[in-house]
Amino acid sequence: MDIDTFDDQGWSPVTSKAHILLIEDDRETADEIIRDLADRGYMISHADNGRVGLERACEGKYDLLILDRMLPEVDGLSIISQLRAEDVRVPVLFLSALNDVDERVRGLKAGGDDYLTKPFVLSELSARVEALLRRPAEPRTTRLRVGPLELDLISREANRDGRPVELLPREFKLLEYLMRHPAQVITRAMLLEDVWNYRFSPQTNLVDVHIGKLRRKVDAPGDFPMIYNIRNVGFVLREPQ
Amino acid sequence: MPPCAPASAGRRHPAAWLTRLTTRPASQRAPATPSHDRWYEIARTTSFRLAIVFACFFAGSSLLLFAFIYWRATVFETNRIDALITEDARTLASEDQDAILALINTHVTGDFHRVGYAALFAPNGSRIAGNLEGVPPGLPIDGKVHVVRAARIDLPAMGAIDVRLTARRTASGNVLVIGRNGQYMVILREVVVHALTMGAIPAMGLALAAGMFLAWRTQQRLKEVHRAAERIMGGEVHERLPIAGMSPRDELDRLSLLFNGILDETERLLGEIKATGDEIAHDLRTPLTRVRARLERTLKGDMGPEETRETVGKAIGGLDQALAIITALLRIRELENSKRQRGFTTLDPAEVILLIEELYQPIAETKDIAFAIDITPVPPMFADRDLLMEAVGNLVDNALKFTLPGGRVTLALGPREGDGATVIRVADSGPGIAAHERDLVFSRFYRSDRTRHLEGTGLGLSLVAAIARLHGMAPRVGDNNPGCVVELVAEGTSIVRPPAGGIGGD
Repeated sequence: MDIDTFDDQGWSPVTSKAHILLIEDDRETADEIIRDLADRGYMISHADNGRVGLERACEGKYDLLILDRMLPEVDGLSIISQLRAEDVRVPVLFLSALNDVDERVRGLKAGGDDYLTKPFVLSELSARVEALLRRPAEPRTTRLRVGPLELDLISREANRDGRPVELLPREFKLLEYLMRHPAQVITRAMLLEDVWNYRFSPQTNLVDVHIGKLRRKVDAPGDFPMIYNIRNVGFVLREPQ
Repeated sequence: MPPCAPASAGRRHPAAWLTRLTTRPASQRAPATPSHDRWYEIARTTSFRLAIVFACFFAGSSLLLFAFIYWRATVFETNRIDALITEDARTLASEDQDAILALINTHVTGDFHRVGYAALFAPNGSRIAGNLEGVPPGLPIDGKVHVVRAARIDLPAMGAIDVRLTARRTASGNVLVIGRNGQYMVILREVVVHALTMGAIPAMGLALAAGMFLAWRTQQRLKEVHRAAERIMGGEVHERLPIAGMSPRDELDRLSLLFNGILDETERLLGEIKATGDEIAHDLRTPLTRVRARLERTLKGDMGPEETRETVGKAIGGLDQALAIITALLRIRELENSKRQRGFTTLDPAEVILLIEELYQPIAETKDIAFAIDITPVPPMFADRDLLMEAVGNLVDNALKFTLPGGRVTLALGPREGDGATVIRVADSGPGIAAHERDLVFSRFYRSDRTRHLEGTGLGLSLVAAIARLHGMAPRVGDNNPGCVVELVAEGTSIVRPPAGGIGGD
């Protein structure tokens, strides 16, 4: 890998003051999630059944909900439907042991913002949590800017410090996604899902190759690198430091 | 081998887990004890019931037959007797007085069976000779046979009974009465009843005995079948139902043969599952053993921080590999079990091809492989976009993996010559797949010996096959001279199939 590599732990999210409600009945899973997210600086509340979870979610003081699909008393789908019915707009990340395309579609249809199938790697969860907590870039914007890097969404041109960066359409797409999520850890699965709508992990190091090619164009020799590899997790694009 | 690796766990009873799979706890099973152990249970068997029905039918028809014989015999005998007495009376009446008297005496004295009636009366009604008191009242003197009550004076104990009599005037004006009583009917009835008891009742008994024997025999065979079935349910998957082996085969044998056929197929499938299980175990053990060794090395603590980090990173990579295998297995099972097509929409497969090309082109470039697409427009397909992408992606992934630098991979979409069926074709210039291996590549974990060293879950093509089947497409492997061609052929059925229950609806 010709990309500068960091360890996951060395990366502290910018969104760490956020307050997250975790509704999960499995004690062990909940402990793991709580410990990992607390280490990353988040405040976590935990409810271990659907009824309590729904009551607390309705208080409206949380920035994000992590919601298990199968819960005692009130299940995840009902919780999200009721929340959306009462106009609680908090982002929701679904967790489910059901690795079924249908289930995913259902979860997202009911009002979920992202969907993660158990078992998952904790770094995947935290990357998605961060992505959900970030405010999305102004959707009507026509120019994206991260440090010296600029992307014109109309003319579909990119430049760094005024120097044009020639991009293939697929590279443009990838860079646009990264620039909409600056200084954020993006996992391979997130890239595949969001950039190519590809929901399954390929056997080859597909994403790494794409990022490698993009990085060679964005980070020219002599430049401070902007695209980093986070070991075993994914990638991040940030201002050169 | 690390010291605590389960070297031969599960080896001792290779079929033990199969047994667990196939055998429910005894408490959940249907009552397994056959209830045909007691003698009276024979009465419940089909053969015995049939024997009873048969015996009843036999008895009924015997009765009918005998009744008919009895009736016909009675009619015949009555007519014969009537003719006899009419003739006797006519002959006697024409004789002179002495001859008549002599004959009446002979008639009466020679009557050992006490059936005869004969008498001569004067015109005033007084008896001249014979064994009747007088002309029985109600008997017209017309020479015809009538049934009248009459009593024999020589046998007062017999009393007045119905007698067939005829009366006729003799030439001298006397009245001659001749007749016979119904004693012969009694005899006839006795004969018939005797025949019935001596013939029909033993025959019925025989029928019942035969029925019981057949029932018992069938029961014995069923018991054997039942025992065999219990052994099979107990996990002895090699056990088969017994065949009596008579020729031509009876219905029980034919049924057993059918079930044995089902058992053969089940055993084959179980064997396949078991083989797959072994392969899963093997394919998982390899990366896990490596992970273990790496972690053990890290635990020793004599590595620098950079080396430690790298070793742990590789260990995580190994675990990811193991997880990828498990995930792929679960997906295949899910796809194989899925009969639903909820995510199906009508789409242009060309979109999928273009996206796959975009996704995989950089890999091809990195590996110095010429990756080209060739799209001929085809009609829209009814398909799950994500799944179709996964299938095509897997094929391209495979092709790129097995093709050497400088080689080429082509992804083509187009109608098949002839019937115009939509074909997605991935051709490479890799090592190809030997003809004898072509059927095997779509089964789980199959890897050609030549490709065994390459990384991968070994499940890609099984996944492709499962997705293809869900789409009503046939996966095929062919020769690309050199290299290999994999085709997914939508053979008519899946092209724009109207959704049954609304696309994506819950």
